[in-house]
Amino acid sequence: MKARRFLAVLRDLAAATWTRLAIFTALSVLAQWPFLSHAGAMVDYRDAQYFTLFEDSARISVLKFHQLPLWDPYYCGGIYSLGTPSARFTSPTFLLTLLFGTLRSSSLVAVLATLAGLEGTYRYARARGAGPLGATLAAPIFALTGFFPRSAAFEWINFLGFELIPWAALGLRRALEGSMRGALLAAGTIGWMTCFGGTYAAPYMLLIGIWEAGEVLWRLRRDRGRVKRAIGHVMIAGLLAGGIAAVRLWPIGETLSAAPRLIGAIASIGPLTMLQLLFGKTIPMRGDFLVGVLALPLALFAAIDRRAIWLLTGALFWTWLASGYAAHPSGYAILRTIPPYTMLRSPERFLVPFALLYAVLAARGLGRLEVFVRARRRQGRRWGSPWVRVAAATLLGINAGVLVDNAWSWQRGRTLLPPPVELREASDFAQARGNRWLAAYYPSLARGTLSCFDDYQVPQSAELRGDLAHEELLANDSVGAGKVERVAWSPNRIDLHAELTRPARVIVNQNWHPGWRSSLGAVTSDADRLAVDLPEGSHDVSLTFLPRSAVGGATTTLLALAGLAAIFWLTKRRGEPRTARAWGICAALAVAPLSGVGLAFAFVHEPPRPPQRLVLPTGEPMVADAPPPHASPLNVRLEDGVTLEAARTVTRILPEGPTLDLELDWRLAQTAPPGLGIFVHITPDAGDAVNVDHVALATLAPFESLPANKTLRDAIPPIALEPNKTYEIYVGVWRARRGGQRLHVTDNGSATVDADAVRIGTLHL
Amino acid sequence: MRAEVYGKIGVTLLLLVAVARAATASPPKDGQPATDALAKDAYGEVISRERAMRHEAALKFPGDPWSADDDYHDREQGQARAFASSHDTRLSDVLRAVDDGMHARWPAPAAPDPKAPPCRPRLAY
Repeated sequence: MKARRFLAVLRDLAAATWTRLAIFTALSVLAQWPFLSHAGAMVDYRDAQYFTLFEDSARISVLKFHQLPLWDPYYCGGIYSLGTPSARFTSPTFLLTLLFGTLRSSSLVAVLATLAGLEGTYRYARARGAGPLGATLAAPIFALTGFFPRSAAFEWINFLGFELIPWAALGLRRALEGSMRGALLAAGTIGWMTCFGGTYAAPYMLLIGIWEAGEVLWRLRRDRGRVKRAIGHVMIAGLLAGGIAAVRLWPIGETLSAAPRLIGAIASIGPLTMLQLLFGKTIPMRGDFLVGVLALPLALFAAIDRRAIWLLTGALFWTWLASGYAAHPSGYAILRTIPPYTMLRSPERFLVPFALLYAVLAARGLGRLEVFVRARRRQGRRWGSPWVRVAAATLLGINAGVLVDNAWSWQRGRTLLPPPVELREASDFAQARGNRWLAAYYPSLARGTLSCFDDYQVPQSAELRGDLAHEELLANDSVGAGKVERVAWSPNRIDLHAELTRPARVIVNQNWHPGWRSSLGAVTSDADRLAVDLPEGSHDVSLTFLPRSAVGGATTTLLALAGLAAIFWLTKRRGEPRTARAWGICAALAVAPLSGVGLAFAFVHEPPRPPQRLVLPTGEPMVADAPPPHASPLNVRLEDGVTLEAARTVTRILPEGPTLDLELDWRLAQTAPPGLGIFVHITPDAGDAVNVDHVALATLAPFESLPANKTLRDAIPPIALEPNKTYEIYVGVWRARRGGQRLHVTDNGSATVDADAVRIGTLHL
Repeated sequence: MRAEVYGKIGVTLLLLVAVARAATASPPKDGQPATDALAKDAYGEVISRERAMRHEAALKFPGDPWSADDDYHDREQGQARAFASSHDTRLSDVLRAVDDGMHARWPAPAAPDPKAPPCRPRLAY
């Protein structure tokens, strides 16, 4: 009797919204307490540096220059802020950054994200048939899964956007079941995730949506009217989500189409590794994706129920994707052939949606146990005591404790550094050579760091310098034409005064982007640097940064938010749309925001990006009609129409040691399939082999973006070697961004071939 | 009804506790501001091994200018942090000294390379 009363009290507490929210808030604050207690410190981790820099750059733009964060001058010589995939400032959480500073706000974002994840999981589990107590006790399985504290520990704050996945899934589920508000919830949360730097969360959500749609539409398949309404709701959700996210989707799309991600991402996660990621290896349990083994009995108990078939198959689907190339066939490999999934890596991140379904299964398991225990009690058989349910609930509670402990351990494992100190006026900006390993320290020094990293080929000029006396200067062929000086500087606007005796080119020591425009003359790209051609005379010139995608994206986002608010208001006043007219109004409100794109094209003129300059460092074209005369012909044919026409090796002895200049001349019979890479193995007679594997030929472009029936000169940058050794050079082609297999050699030509590796020559140093 | 009120109060108080903790937390203690002389020492020390460290990085990442440069900067940051720690000065001051030295061409054993190759991340990172 006591057990039943105890469970009833717990259930009442869980079912009451505000009591439950208070419990969840307490759990969120508890889980993030070490993070909160060290707020303001800089995390000693390389990624933390640039994630922090992106947010801080936006903060400086707003607070110090009263500008929208459009241009980030502090990284890589200047990058488009909205087009930076991992930047998170286009989110309501940016208000916390403005109020508390970048470093202190991270921990508060983590608290709010955890709270959102807990309540979202609760509601999603309830929508999938779990009871209030089970849903409350199982919510931490998702919201505190190891992925989140690990992300927070690395300052990957944008990954905390994944905490909104249950809300988006819930919204889609309700939308499919006929609720317009569900469609609005899905649109709002997907839009939010994307704007929060959710380059992973949003594509994952698309898959989750397809799964949800499959389940609900299968259930409704005999009711054509409901199926139509479900599709209508999902289309409205999709349009509004895309509209809300436009302020990021358009600029990011532009950036990545000009500067693609060329990453291997052929990870294989075997079953044992996956179990360790999810459940830990030893006690205390630790795991990158820890969900807790104590919830497993309840999850399995729920999974053997026929009604849980979609949950079970869903969980298996996510683990299949998470196994990467270890599975045969590999779902991840298939997915990576479909844009935008071609650019994703780290398949183990698919364990995040798995964690959500695991939480739902555990929550349902507690409800199923209740039914089971009652039946046993009625039958007077064993396992009929309500204490069994108390024990199961306790197990879930302990599991939550394990997850909190794991979160604390991630935070305690961090090495912390003192925060950056502001040492210059922000307007005294210049480029520094910098250091990406300490990148977050440079904005406070009013310096940009040219040394940088992101996991795409950042559009960056090789001519930028970190030692200039003045950041704005006349081009070499304009020296003597007069002088130019800076009048005022801010991220989005540079005011100059020029005195010129003849037309001249002014170069700004930052990257060029087509969104830069000038009040006078023509903005141009000078070796990828920002430059403006000015006429003779005395001029005051303003360079301003306002890209079309920022104007169009922001307009679309604002219109989509207005559309979402309008549909919400309409459904609140008039209920769900039932007539064709009501549906027409909702559809119009969802489609209308896309006019922002058209308006931007009509009113904001912007030059197209010039095609990439395929030029070797020697100034010779990379694409030629034939190999250079000094190259040795090979004519080795490989699969997929790839031919190694010729090669050239030149060794030079420098003061630092010997260096090899290697050029490989390739030809394609047709457009190459995506994902190929070139391996270059230089094997010494003693010691380790030197690998110069690469994807971009001559560091410029991959096979798939280069023309067929031309010689493609892959001039590899100088290769430092050790003296007094003999090296054998082998090269070939492999599916670097697919399965990792080598392309077979079909015709040896005039070369020796071993295991599909072509021997180029021997070096005696 | 009473549970709802208590719940709302609880949520508010707990969030206020979180805000207060984040706002008042003390970051790790920083060093002292660097004097001009110390700044010049910092520049000399960080730059002095650049040539050797770049060669080591080039051997580690042959034919990959960005990775070699990045590896050099990893070594450079180690030097900057070691200098800040051993001289009880701020890391920001050491980084500023390296930048000031390069812009003002302070005397150094060898001229540092003022450029950085464009970011071209490796296939597997």
